Amino acid sequence: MSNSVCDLDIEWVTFLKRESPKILAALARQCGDIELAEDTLQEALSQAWQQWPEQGLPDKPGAWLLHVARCRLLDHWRQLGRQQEGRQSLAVGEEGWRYDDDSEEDQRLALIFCCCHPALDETSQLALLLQLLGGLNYREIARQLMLSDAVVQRRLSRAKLKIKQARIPLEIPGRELLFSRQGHIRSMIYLMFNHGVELQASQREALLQQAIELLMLLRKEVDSPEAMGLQALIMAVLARRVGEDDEQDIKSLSEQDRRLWDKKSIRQADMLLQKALALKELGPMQTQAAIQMLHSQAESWEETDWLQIIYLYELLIRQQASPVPKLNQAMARFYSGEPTENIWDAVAQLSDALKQHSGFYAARMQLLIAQGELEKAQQEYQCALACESAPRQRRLLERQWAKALRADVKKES
Amino acid sequence: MQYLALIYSDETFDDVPMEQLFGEYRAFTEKAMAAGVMLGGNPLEPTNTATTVRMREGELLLSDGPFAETKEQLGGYYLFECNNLEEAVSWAKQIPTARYGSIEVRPIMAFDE
Repeated sequence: MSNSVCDLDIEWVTFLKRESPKILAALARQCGDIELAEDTLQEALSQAWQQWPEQGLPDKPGAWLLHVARCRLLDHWRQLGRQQEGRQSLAVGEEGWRYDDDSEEDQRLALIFCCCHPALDETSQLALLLQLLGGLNYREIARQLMLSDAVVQRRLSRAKLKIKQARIPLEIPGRELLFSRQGHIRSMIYLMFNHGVELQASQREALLQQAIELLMLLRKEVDSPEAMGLQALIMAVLARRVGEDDEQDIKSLSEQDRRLWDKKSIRQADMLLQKALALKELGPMQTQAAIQMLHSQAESWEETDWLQIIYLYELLIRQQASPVPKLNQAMARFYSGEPTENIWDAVAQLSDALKQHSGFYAARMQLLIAQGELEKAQQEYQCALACESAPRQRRLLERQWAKALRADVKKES
Repeated sequence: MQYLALIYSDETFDDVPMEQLFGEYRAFTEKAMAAGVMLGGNPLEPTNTATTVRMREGELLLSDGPFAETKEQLGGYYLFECNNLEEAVSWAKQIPTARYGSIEVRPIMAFDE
């Protein structure tokens, strides 16, 4: 196989995004020390970086990396004079080393149960998840969690140290614990998805794909309608974002070219959701999936089934105590053609709960624009910008505002 | 791997009569011993018997009572031998005081030779 360095670059970056968590999970499982696993994987990657451009990608790059990292791990143990321990540990979990690029031997679920262990605080759990399985670096995690870089670094290393020192097991728990923790794992994957949706295209795709795969692994151990619902939700959202690249601006649902959506994934997501709903154990994940499915299946923005969506938001509001579904429901009523004054009142009631939320001000901006109150709308626009730090989300707001101004000029002339 | 389970509760309160609680502790201890998990453990006399010792600039400073005033006091401990935290927790949760007090589980520090 011969590749130019440039081709290899792209191939290898895509490969790594997809495969790194798997290799890391296998290594961590083996040595019980996430930091050591990360270091040895890093060493294996540098070796690959030197060898692959000359020799081409190996047949099974994953197995190659795992093998090299494993040798580094043995070197490390040898240096510490703990050969005995190393040998023993390798002998005990021989199956942990089997790695096939497309094999069923996948330790990622064990890793997520470890990272999301209740003995760690929840912010650290999420940070670990975003780093080890979501592929984000600490700066990106800090931006997502609205913490400083230093705090995130400290939390990550403290959590990894605790996993090692208190020996939080890197394994899928037995039946009883598996049942009692599945809900928590599900909500952590949901948070991972929520943070991933806002990322730039290349990262988002890798992270959401990872989230879907984790759910499939979880469902193999213990399936539930809510896990199916969450998977359908992520698939339905991911299907609308295919083919976007990092340079592109985010488009709101009303602006997107629906011909570009991945219809096949949407159908698959729908089938999965139908299967979940048939089990008649409703929950917030299935409700959110149903809402997104209605958006994904509408032929155009104008043909969206707003009445159904309003009803589903009503259900969601009863299922989970959060002001965001209330805001979304109010806006769905606006899009369905209800008088703007009614909507304004509904949104105003959320002002305390959502005063840090740019979506709240963006919604008010939209309502005021609809009423032709551009001066007041401008204030809301400024507030929305002040609450939004993600550059691409800010550009979306700027474009919406510019559009309103253009429409106003047209009206006057 | 060794874990110390530190047993904390309000020492003026037990949820069942003392006799019964002792019985429960005996049963738990026997179970942990039979499973080969138990390395040691003891109840402590109440905190009114405690003396806190400090050495400052070569001088011995003694004071009455425990080091920190807290709602829950250290009332005893177990030392377990377990494979991992999950296993240690599965034993700690069976300590009778866990249902009205709290158990702090801490790994014993391992030194590399």
